[in-house]
Amino acid sequence: MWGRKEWDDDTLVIEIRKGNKEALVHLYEGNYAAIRSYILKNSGGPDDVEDILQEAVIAIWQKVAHPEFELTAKLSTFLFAIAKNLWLKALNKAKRTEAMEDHHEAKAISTAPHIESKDLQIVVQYMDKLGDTCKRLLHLFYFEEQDMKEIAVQLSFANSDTAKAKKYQCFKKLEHLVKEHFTKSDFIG
Amino acid sequence: MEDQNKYDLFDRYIRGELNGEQLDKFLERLESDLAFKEEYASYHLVVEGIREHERQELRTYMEQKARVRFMGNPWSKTWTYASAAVVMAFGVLYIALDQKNGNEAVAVKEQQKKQALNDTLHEMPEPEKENVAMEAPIAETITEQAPVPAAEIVEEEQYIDIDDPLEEAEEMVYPDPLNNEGLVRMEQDDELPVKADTRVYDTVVSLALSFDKENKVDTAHAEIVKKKEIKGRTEKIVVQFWKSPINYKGYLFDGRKLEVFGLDTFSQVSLRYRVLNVDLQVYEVYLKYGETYFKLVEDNRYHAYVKVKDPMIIEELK
Repeated sequence: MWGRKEWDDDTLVIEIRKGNKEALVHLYEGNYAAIRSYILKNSGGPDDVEDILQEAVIAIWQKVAHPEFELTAKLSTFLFAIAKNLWLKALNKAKRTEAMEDHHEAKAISTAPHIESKDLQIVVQYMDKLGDTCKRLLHLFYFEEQDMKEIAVQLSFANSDTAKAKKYQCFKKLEHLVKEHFTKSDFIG
Repeated sequence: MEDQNKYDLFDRYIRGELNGEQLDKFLERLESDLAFKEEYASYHLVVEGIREHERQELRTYMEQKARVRFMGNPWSKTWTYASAAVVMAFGVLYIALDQKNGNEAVAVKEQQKKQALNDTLHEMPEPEKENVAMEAPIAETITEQAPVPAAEIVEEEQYIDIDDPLEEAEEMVYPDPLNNEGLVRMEQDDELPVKADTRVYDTVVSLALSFDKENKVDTAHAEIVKKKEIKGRTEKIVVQFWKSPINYKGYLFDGRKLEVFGLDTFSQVSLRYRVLNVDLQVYEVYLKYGETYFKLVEDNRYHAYVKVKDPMIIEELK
């Protein structure tokens, strides 16, 4: 579109795994029309299109970056399905449509503590105070869920043990910075 | 070192690597040991913050780089109409200028003719008055053919109605399938009636989707779920059977509505699905007609039926 050469799925997967963010733009632009059409036809507005498409593209990025991910259908099929699921969830949440979840769903036993978005934002701010290697290492491990072996190769560590030790250091440093901002009781949801 | 082991355990838990007894033990401790729970809460907040940080970075990148966001879809009605308006404005301007130039040329020619006539008349002594009177109609003709003034061009532009499709977003409304008697979809033209597609039958099909996960912990979006979950939901799909005057065979599918053309035996039609990815809940929908399966592309466009030939897929769909 407008001179941007389209990438096929194989290229997109390779580029995502290399961490090339240009792949995000290709996914976004390439699927904009289809997602927009779907959301506008289903009670959504233009702002919803952007939010949902961005979330869907990020979900694809996260999944494709995972070493165990196998491409069994076209990426656009995946993206459309994710966007559709996200939109239906959003509609359900806003009670703008009848709940689609049926009684098949098992009761989830959630052990995840509740997190306030302002607390999350504090962590985000402190992430920016870390060095580039720490940031990249934490992203690769916690966001893309790559294993230490691959992270060691990507970030040129001697081996996975070195990468693991570094990851621990980075994590503790971030946690320490965050803890300075909160009292201990704030961590219990 | 003990501290690092604890974080390793947390890491394994959120990555879904704890199974069976290990997982039960972990969850039990999380419920009974307050200090452990506090440490996990602190760890969990930091992990979610790291994830949010990356999400925000990716979002910012897309906002800055994705041109569609700012320009809109180039094939949208807005852009099409806007382009048409620009082309028309130039067209009107061109015609006006062309006419003006033409008139000027006519005026010059007339002037030359007049000059020649005057020259001839000057040579003739009588009758002078009659020749002067002949000039008036020529002058009037030139005035009548004056170029279109700029104000008229602007007015012309204002008549062009540019619809904003973003404001046209309508709720997806499907007609009551039980109250439909041969609906005809046609674009009515008063002078030229066009024979168009006829909707002959509607039905609603429920797809009971199931995304089984065994011994796996779902950590997506920080939602931690105990093992052996069966996630599912029911998708209701409106199936409309259409008849085309040109005997078109194909379909249009948008995930909630399926328009079927060229299949006459309604009772032989059913829907199947195949899960492609459990985590993402991605699945493909197939149309079964008799003993034949067709894969449906969910993109709200017309497609021809594509028969499934892979015996593995057919077996899975049965």
